[in-house]
Amino acid sequence: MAALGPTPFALILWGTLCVVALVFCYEVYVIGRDAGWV
Amino acid sequence: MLSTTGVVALTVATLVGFTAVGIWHTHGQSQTVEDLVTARNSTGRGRLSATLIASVMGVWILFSAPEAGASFAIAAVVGYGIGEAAPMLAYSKIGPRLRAVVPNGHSLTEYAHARYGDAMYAFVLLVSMLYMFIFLAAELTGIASALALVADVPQSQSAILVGGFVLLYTGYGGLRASIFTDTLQALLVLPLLVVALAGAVITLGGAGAIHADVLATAPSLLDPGFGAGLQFGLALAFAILGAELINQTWWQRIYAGKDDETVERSFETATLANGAIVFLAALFGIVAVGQADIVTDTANAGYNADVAFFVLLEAAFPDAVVIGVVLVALLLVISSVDTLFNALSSVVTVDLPRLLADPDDRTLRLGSRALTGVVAVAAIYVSLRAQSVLRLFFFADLLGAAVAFPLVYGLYSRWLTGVGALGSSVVGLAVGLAFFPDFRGVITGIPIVGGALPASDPLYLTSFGGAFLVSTGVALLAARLSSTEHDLDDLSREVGRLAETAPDGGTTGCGARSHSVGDADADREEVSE
Repeated sequence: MAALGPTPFALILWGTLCVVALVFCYEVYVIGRDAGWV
Repeated sequence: MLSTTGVVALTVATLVGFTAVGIWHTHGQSQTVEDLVTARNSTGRGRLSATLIASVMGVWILFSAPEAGASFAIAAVVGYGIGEAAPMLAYSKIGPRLRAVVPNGHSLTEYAHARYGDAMYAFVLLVSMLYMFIFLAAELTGIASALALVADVPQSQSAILVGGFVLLYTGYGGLRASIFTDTLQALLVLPLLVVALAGAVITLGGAGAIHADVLATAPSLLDPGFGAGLQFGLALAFAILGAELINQTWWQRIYAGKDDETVERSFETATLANGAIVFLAALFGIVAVGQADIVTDTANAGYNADVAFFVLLEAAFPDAVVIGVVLVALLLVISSVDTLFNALSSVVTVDLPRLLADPDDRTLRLGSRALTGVVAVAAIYVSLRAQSVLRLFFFADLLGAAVAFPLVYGLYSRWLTGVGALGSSVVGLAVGLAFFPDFRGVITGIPIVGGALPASDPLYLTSFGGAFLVSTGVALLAARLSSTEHDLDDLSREVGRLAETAPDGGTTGCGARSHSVGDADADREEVSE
């Protein structure tokens, strides 16, 4: 199988970073909601 | 290299901060042994997800995950991510089931005893304790190695500092302190990880430049069809799934969740988060190969793939990024060490009522705290004296892969007996051992069968996959052929709560384990009357 090209590689790298960042935002929201802050 | 004094100061400040927060959070609360061990129904969705993320994300993600990426390519990166996500997804379904079938439970060994009897209990106890202890010792070894690499901090100093401070607040506050500090650690680790890794990508010239460097150095690492990578990735998925299913950490947190929906949703969030974080960490092993001199041949004396991430740090990044990663490493190790201290001590604490004559709540609380201390001292000692303990990690994974399905299947099947569960685990283990590449001299030295064993699988797939799938198949067959039915409703009657402090300061007694739930509730009603 051919090596992963630069575009899919960049998508995977930045995409996963974005997923982790979104999880953080979601966590902050849910913790705030549980605490009655939002 | 960073200043040793500066890194030690950062380490002590971080540890003092979390110790103070952990003790402050639980100080003044009337804690029963139930609070120390399960913090039952106390934790909402946000905090439960946070502790599920923080607990598993140890400093190992900066060592083992990049090593897999650097050595076994993008397919292993995917396998590692899936492997870490799969147990969380499984628990999102197992968790509510466990709460329904064993509503007053505390630990996986307690469930194994009630469901399958003494022999399976002993096997599960051994496997689970071995896995968690090796995990713990490896975490302390990992942070000691990391701080020695970036700032030349003596290894014994790091292990004793981390183990000692974490013991203070975990011994005092139990699971509640662990979950509270885990929440803060997750909220710090996630953004720090994103900023540090995004900063690293930008410093290296962006994703395009990184891709070009890897392509020029080791193009096979970017090949999704790289055979060895696919096999090793799949092997990791089996190994991690099996090992995490016998990890008491998760069983405790299933009971700590506020309700069934909280447990299900929190494990689903952790599925996405843990899979993505490990995927990212493993991907940086591939990045490292393109930037630094990473040796992936284990036969070479200069093998350094196991510290690929730190070699990359030293080769390409300014001190600010390195300090950020050191802080991430500290947070990672603290969050998993406090979790494992508590998980290991809780397994034994829950069994104390069977060993002692009707202990009261105070005795059990004392026992729980003393056991946490024993676990901490033993783990620090082993991490300093026996670095080769890391070699046992794959063996512990193999044991987990063999026992996981038969253990969990008892929550769903009325027909799987203790003999069937233990037998299927042993058959799975035998198949896994036949192909297991480590300790080969010992395995082939087994009388009669040793010489007839097939060649070992250096990529572990036949070993881990064989153990998991064969034990699963045999357990299903044993349940189908069984004529003995186990009434799962008995589990809720057999497993009761531990002694709890009554409003008058006395205790409801510790015969709760032999009481039915109804009896225990009736006891409490009588006390309050």
